[in-house]
Amino acid sequence: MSRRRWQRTDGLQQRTLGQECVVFHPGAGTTHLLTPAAAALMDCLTAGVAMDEAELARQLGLPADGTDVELGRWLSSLQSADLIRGRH
Amino acid sequence: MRIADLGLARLQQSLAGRGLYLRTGPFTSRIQSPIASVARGIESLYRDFEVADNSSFYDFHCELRAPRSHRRFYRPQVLFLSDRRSVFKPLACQQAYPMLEWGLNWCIANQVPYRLVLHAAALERNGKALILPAPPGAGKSTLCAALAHHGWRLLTDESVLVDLATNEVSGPARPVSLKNDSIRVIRESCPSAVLSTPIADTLKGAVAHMRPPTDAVHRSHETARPGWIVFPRYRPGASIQLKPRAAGSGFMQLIANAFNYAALGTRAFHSAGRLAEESACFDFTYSRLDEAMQQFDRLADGR
Repeated sequence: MSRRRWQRTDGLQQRTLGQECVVFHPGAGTTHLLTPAAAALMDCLTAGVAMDEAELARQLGLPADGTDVELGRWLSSLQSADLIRGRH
Repeated sequence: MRIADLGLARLQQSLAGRGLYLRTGPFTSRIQSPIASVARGIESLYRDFEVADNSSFYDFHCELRAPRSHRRFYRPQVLFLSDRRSVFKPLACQQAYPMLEWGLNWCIANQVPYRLVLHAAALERNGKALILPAPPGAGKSTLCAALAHHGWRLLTDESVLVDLATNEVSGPARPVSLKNDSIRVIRESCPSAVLSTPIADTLKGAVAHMRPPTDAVHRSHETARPGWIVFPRYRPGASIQLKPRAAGSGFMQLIANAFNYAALGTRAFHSAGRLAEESACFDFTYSRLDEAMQQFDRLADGR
């Protein structure tokens, strides 16, 4: 498991709509509809606090097998939307 | 005073002079034009609308006139100016009236900074708003025109206004734009509807406008609570289908139809979010207008 730490981008606006979640990035002016998994991951990240991947996986209740692949995919898509930032 | 009280001669005089100050819902437009078809169109389609006095504050300044070139004589053209700036390419002079409607739509889409403006039709029943966001060709205006003559109050066929603080929904209740075959469909299904003479060969094909029902104009300052967001799609031969849609994807489709979402930023995000939360979202496919009317009646009655 990577020890990379992740932090929510500052200033994001988030709303839960039924089973879904939408996020607005004021800096980029973009809006994203998150999958339930991505929304759960975003919910784990407190504004201004960086969290490492192992802790994220634990909080999300991900199984040990294949965890890296699944979590890595979610983190990568959130990072490419600039909703989270990695910190070493 | 209303347009009907003014009479054509005084209307033409106002338009050709300092301008007609026309009230449409929350907006006042100052309209200037020496073109006779513009005056005739306003007289016929805006007859129930209020005229403000010409010292009032106005939201939009619109002018329709011939270009200052040889095209005022040879194959005459018309320009639409907003705040004295031409915002569209010139059109053939016979399209002057539709150009006024398109120009007023442009003003609302581009010059309203204090409300979320959606590219959608909207109607009201029992205090609740039915919002119909759709791209051109989806049958939005046809549905809107028919519903406006079947127990629903017209709010708008083009520009839904959402109050950023209260989320109340309103519209200017202006004439409904009909294209091509929908002109015939509305003539047949709504015999009491007053339509302008169709103008052929516009960029959108043949275009006519429907006069808004008098009650809708008189009540155009009344807002409605969010009720339903329905994404309509006309498909020839299709069976009628009303399918619930998840609020999140409904929200995304809603903001794709917002004119000023990017300009309003966070305020628009939360306003559209509240709208999606407070409304029931559906996808709607139809081919027959009578079936569609019955479906919307059932929706309003909670059946």
